[in-house]
Amino acid sequence: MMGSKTNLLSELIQQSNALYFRNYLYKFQGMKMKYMWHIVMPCLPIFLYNLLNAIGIFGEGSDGVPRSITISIGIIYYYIFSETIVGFSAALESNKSYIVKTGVAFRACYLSVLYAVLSNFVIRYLVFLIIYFFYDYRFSPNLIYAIFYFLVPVLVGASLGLILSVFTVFYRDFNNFVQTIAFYMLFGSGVFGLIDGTSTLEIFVSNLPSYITVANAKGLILPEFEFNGSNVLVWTSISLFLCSLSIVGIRNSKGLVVNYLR
Amino acid sequence: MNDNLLKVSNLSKKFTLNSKYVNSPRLGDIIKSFFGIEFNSIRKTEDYWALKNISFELKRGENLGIVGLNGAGKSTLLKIILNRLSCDSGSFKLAGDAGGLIELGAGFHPEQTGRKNIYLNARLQGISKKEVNEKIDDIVGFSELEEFIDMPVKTYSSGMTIRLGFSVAIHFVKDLIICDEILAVGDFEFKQKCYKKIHELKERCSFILVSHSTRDIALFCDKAMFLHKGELVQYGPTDEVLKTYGLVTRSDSVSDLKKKMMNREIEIDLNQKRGKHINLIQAIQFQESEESRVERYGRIYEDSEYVKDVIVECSGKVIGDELVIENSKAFFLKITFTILKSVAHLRIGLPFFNEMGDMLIGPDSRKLTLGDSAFATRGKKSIVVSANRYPVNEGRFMIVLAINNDPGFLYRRHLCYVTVKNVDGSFGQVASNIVWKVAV
Repeated sequence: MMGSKTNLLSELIQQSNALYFRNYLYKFQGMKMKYMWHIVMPCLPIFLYNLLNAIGIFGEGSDGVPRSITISIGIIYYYIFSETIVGFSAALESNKSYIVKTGVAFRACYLSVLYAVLSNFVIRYLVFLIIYFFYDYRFSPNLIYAIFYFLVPVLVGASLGLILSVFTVFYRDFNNFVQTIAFYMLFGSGVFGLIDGTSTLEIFVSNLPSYITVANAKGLILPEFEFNGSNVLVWTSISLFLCSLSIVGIRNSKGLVVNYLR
Repeated sequence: MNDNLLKVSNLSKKFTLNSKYVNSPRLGDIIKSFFGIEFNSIRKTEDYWALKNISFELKRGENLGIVGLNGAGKSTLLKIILNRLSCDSGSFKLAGDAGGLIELGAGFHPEQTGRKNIYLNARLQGISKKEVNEKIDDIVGFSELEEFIDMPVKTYSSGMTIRLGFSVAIHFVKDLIICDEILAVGDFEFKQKCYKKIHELKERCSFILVSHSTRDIALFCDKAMFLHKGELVQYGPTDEVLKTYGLVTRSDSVSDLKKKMMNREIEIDLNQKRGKHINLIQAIQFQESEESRVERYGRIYEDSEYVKDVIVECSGKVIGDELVIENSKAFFLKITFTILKSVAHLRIGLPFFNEMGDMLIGPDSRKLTLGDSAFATRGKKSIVVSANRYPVNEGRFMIVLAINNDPGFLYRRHLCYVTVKNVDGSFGQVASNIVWKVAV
């Protein structure tokens, strides 16, 4: 108990830093490439899907924008969403030894996931900028707005991840489901092309928060795509509400969770 | 400043013994708890009370020792105080910050070096890098790991790991440090160093030590608590609590123990009335094994690089295993030994322990400042220890001889048992040197 709010905040930041170092930065310790993996791993999906695109698997786009750029934007924002939801849902379970043995706060576990998501975003975004300027696109202020747009998929992912994190403590299977679903949802989230069909399934998928996040990220950066601000606002509000609800819920069930983790 | 550091009131904690429930609580219960709705699981569970109505207070600067057999609830209590576990009823109030060493190497990253792990461990406790930078040399110095500090922690022994963990804890925790049996892993010298540090830190922080070593508790705790099967049997002065702890067997219930305590007091009372003056400590019988001796009187040690040929004589004869002496007789010992290398801080100690392992008196050669004199150089040396009467009045005691190069030991031996007969009717165990004179 450190007393003042400033001290509590500083304690939280220190604990989050420690978990970020342990779980993320030191993850590849003992390997030959060490810190290089932190650059290679986040960029791998961008390289891989661009490679598939280069050999013509995805075909030509009808929007006049190089596929490489739309795929890269899609991957960046979809991965923010998926990494947040997967990371948050496993946050308590994977850090249980620190919670039980060293008294790390729950908040620090979530915050450390955010640091990792942010690090990956920064690396991927830099790679995207290289691709963007490679295709002779000019600088636009939207590239700056796109950095702040990072918060939207984070909020959407966190809102679900926070709730799931409590259940994952008791049912670890949840984490496998979340990881599997997050992987396969990539193909239905508008990363490789936007949905313009009218079937029930297509309407359902195009209304999922992951799809809306990715589609609007494209709309924000590229003038050739539409940016639907009201959709983003609706999902941000829903996510904020769910996050608040989850925070209260986690506080309520803290006793049950801690007793189970011991 | 408020003197009360920790106040625990009616703290209870129950666990369930039903493994099915432990492995998979009902989804409905989790949902209810998420929405803050009280729930009573329909599933039949067998409850086990790990702690029942524990209440005590600890003042700033006091060290508390917790004793009890395995499963008594010691670790559960510590985890609740450290906020690592919630309680089912009761409350506790901690007026400060608490840090704990409840598990070996908790929070350390095996692949990282000791140095990086100091930063990591400190951060897990909420301490900034700047603060660690200021203290890193002291931390490494105290842990005595200068040579290995840049090696991965996975290469450390358990003793080295605990030295690092303890060192980090004592340098950052401000008010209360909780150690759960972890010091048992450290070697004798490091333990000595830790306890010396605990003593130094008494001004600014308190310690709660959980140990099966009654000697450690007796030496370093002002108060002790005896837990048995989740219940508080006794809380009070260390020697009183340890005497009760000596009576316990695993099959005892708390009420059995209380009966034993009562019987013991009646027996002692009767004996005192019969004029036998049986000491409380003598009422407890010990098994005399090498292990139990070390447990009570400390480790036997000899650094043959510095000291050899230690001979102790009493009345011109080499001292045996057992002596019987009258308290009114003069006390005279001659200690002869050979110093092989010059010793900078030579000190000779001759502590008297009772059979519980409590040090009753600890005479030493501090006033002679041997380290500064030619006495501490190479060669055969003799020193005489004497008093015009025995320093203790009655009972059986262990005399220990310790030759130190402060703060470490060069030589330590359990010299002999002395049974002292009280022939002059002196009161108390320790002889008083108070001089009485009629005021003019």
